[in-house]
Amino acid sequence: MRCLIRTIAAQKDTLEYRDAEYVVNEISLGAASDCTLYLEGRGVLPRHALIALRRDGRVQIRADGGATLQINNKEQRSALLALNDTIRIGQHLLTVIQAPFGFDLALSLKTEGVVQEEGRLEFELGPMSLTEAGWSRRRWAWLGVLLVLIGGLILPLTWSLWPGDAKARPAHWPVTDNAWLSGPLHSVHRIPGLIDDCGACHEAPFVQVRDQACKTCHETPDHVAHPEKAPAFADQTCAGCHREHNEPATLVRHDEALCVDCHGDIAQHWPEKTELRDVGNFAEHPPFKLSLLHMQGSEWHTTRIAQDDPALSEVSNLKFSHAQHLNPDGIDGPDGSTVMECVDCHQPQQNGKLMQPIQMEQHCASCHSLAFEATDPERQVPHGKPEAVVRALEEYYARLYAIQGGPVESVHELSRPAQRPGKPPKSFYAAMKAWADERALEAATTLMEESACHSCHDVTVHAEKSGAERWRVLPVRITEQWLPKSRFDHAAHLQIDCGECHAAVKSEKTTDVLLPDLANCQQCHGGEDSSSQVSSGCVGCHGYHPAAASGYHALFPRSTVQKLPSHNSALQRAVSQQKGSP
Amino acid sequence: MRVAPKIFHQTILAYRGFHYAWWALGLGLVSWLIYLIPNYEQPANGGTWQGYTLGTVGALLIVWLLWLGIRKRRNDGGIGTVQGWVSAHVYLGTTLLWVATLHTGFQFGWNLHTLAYGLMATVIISGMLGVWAYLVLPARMVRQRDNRTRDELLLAIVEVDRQCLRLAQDVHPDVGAFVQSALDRTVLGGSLLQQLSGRDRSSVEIRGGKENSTAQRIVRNRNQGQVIRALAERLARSPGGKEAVLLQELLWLFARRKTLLQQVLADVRLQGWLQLWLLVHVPLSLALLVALVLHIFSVFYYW
Repeated sequence: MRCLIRTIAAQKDTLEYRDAEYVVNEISLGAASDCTLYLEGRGVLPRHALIALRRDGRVQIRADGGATLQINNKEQRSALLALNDTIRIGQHLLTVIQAPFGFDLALSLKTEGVVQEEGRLEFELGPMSLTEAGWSRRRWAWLGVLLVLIGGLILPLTWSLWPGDAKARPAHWPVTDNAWLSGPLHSVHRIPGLIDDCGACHEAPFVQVRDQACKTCHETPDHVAHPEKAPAFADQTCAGCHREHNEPATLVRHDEALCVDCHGDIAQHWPEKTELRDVGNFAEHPPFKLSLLHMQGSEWHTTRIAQDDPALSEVSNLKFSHAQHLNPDGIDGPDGSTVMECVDCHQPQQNGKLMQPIQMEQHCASCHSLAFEATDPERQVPHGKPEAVVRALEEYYARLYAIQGGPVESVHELSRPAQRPGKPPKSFYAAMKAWADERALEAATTLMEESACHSCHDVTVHAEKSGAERWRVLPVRITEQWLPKSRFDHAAHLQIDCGECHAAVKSEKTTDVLLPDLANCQQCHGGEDSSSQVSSGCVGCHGYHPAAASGYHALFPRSTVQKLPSHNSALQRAVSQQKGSP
Repeated sequence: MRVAPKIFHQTILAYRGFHYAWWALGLGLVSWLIYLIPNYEQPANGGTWQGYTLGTVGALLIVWLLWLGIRKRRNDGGIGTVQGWVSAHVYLGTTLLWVATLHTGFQFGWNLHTLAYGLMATVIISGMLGVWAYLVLPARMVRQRDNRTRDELLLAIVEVDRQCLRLAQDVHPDVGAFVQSALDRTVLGGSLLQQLSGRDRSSVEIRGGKENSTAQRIVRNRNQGQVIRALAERLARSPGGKEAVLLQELLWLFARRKTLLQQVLADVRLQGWLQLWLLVHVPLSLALLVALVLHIFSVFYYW
């Protein structure tokens, strides 16, 4: 038979249920050690009773030998067992309980008053539980709570509230308020005065860092010169966009919402008329607006013009064809036919972002010679104003005359005749000047109107004037930064050929603007939530703070003007000047 | 024949068909989804809206988990059964580790915030060990005590000792003193480490060196081995008769005593291990509560 015996034992403050399963022919109960169910104590015989399964499936208990059983409080020798029947043997009470599935019988066994005899051990018991051994949970809890309170509150708070100057604090303090640091300071802020003084920025408890704390070191103009016109800016704080104690370290919010909250519906936030158009994300960016240089009188000015404006054309006063120079079949150079590359002239700045300005001497002169005397090709005029050119020519020819002692037809024929003793006559100098002036004018006319200057510059001829004043060369200025309100990094785009973005190979006119348009950027760049393109938020290209009160037109990236705490005003001036320079 | 006992009652893990396991899993999943919502504003940390949400959930969980200590001491009922509370405690406690880890945004450092996290993780891991202990050790304890309580075992030792002393009166006085010493120098219980090791540290006083020497010395009597060996030797040298019968019976009693002592030692050892995790779990959970309050305090103190 298969039987479950559930022993219910009362421990100190709990009830213990022990289930044991027996698979036996019959269950013997008694004080003998080989009984199936070992019962001890007064009134239990070594073999007290037997429980067996009858053929009809019912369970029978019968007393063994002279024993008696109290079944349902009646003294009986044997009985058929049914649910909830009780059997008392000595101090033990067996109750028939519901047998689980698959069991023939289930009994619960309760022993009452186990300790009837006063038992005393011959030896003394040591602590028999962890509590008795002195390991009280309460004591440890108090200790833990106290340690956390001291290390997490009392010590840092005392440090934080230390009266007087931050430097007056003790040099050695077990736990400073650095224990409350929610993340490391950005490396630019890890300087004495900040790294050891939370109060430098967190000026008042339970108040978010205020702008004045930032402005102790950073002097930066506001986003707009007139915040009163745009109430949206009234409650903007530094901490609204600049978040410290972040990992990975970042100081600037990069999410689109930072800008789009207002720029998504600019009319709502900027009551005055503005040329700015609404922008949601990079996919909906309006066409680029370029800063186009143009001359007014003798001054260069910039106007902002949309890239899709048909009027867009560059006026640099230079005659240049990219297509001609980038001819895949080559172009004549000093070493014969040469295939030119973009990088021959366009070299990146040291930081790799924008391009260095084009310099005639550096980028053009190796091919574009300023030679003027066929018999003396090594000699060139300086690349400068017509006055300088004519002066150099006059000096050159006067020197030839002086050496030869008369007119010179070819430099190859130049010889030094025997010097007549004494001073030459006055007529010699007059003849020399007349000859040199004439030859210089001849050479200058060729240069200015036919060859070197003329091939690249716009030269106007004023025939009525004499000398260098006959020619006027329009000044050249090539745009270095079309998009000064955004930052671009060529170095970040090295895997793309120049021609992928700049259609220079097909550009024959100097007026062509070769800056790639928005659609070109959008081939790779998408909004911040784009999963198929380079995720690009506003801050990826644009900054928030204008470089100076004068507006955006100064160098844009890293525009925050630093008020250096070391009173290094000379350096500060230099930095500001460089940032403010066009 | 007897086979290993099976557990027929429902464990706290399987309570109501793993009811709270599903709750915990659901909460874990929701927390994960909240964590996964992209935040372009700043990197994942406790200060984003997701961070605040997960932090609030975690803090409420901690307070609720600690409430078990109050709920189980209240006998006037209250919401649900204690068993249900413990089941939920186990599952939601496990989820807390997940929720709090997401709350950190995996940013850790030598600061109060990570201390709170470390305390929490230690409490949860000790709790897991506790669940294991409660599922495994009680059954093992009952089995090794042969279905008797510790008091019953101690009473049995009292009985054996009484018989030993009665027999000791009739044997050679040397043996009598030896038996008396073995009983007196029995050691049960001790310090935390002694309880957890379960080693028998009993000793016995024997007459040292030569036969007639009266010098006494104390030797170890681990698992009554010294006594049993000495009695066996004495029996071997005994000429027989009544003395031999008495010695034989003493030998039998000490063998029984050895078994009983070992059962009590093992019971104390297992009970020690059963309670050890609570020594970590309970005090650290209270320290965690303080660290949690300070964590919230300090974050807003230096806002």
